Amino acid sequence: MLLNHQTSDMKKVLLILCIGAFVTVFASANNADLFTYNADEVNQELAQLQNLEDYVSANPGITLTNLQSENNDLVANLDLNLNNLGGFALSGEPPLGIPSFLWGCVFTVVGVAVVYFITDQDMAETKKAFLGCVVSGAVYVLWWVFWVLVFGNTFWYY
Amino acid sequence: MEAFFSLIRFISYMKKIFFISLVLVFSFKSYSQNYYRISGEFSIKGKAENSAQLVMGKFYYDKNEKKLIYKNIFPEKATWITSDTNIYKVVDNKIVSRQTIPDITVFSMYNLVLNNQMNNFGLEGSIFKLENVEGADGQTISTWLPPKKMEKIFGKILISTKDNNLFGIIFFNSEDVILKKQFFEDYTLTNGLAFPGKITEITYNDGKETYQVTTYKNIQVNDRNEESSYHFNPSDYQ
Repeated sequence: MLLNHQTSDMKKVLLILCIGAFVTVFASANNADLFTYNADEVNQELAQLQNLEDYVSANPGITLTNLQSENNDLVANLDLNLNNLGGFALSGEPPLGIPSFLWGCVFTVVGVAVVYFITDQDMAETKKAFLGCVVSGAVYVLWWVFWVLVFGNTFWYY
Repeated sequence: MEAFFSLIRFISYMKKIFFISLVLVFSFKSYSQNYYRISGEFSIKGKAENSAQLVMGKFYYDKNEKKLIYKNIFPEKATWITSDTNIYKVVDNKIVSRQTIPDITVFSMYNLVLNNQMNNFGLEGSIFKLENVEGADGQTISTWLPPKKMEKIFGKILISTKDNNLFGIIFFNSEDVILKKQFFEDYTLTNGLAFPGKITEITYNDGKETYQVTTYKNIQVNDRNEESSYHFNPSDYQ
């Protein structure tokens, strides 16, 4: 009688473990699957810009103004101009007035921290800055800086 | 006689201790190599619904100088410098514009790289808390959650590492919808420092995808050949 009871308990434990393992594996697989993208689609979308980059590399010193003045086909159908240095923002304005290419290079969601800090923790502004940063450029943020700025820790690694 | 042998043994011990100390010192030195500056060529290609951008040039960053210097060759020859709370644009050795911005020069990817913090994207020690770590398909994926009081602003962040390098980041909004994916690929090793050669960004907005690819090449670490390129003094460009 006691043996049967113990066997039943063991079965339950095994079942729970199996379900747990299945859920964990399934969740892992799902998250791993998220880290994919269609490289061909990206390349295709940026093909004309790639051609332009190759041309500029092969012709050192050439500028957009040069290309436009000679009606070069490479820039004919591209809405590419000097003002685009500040473009790509969600609202049409680059976050914090910083040109988007710089966001693309380095500055990122740290803007959230700055806005959060300088606007007296205005949540609406923070959200706007966050969306602006995420949409406008790369996101390589030092999130810990947020902690430092808001709560006054020291810059320990400088 | 016994004193003599004791002395020999003592000297022998001292030699061993000295040798071990020497090994430890050199090991520590090589392990904690000080990466303080980085530079390289970059290009940023991006396309949105009604606009496109191509920016090419060289970047220079020295974490002691705290100035980011971009010498762009396209779309125009211009140097952009972020210094303190200013961003300068220099054309033909003259400052043609100056704008006040928050002082975020040191908060950059380059700092993450130079300080070996790329793998966790600097999230460790931040307000985000590590919720889970899992392994799948050769990736190690960590899930980071915002603090409770900010759950309405920020969503979770997933970070994937492959071969001990940052591979991808996925940002979610507070409704668990993906805002952006970033992939860091084609790493190169320069003086032992890993740096991505290609960063692909896919932004999701209103059901549309926007692509941006940043490439880096000819990365230099602790370079001393272009010393002046890492410095900027506004008074030299008036």
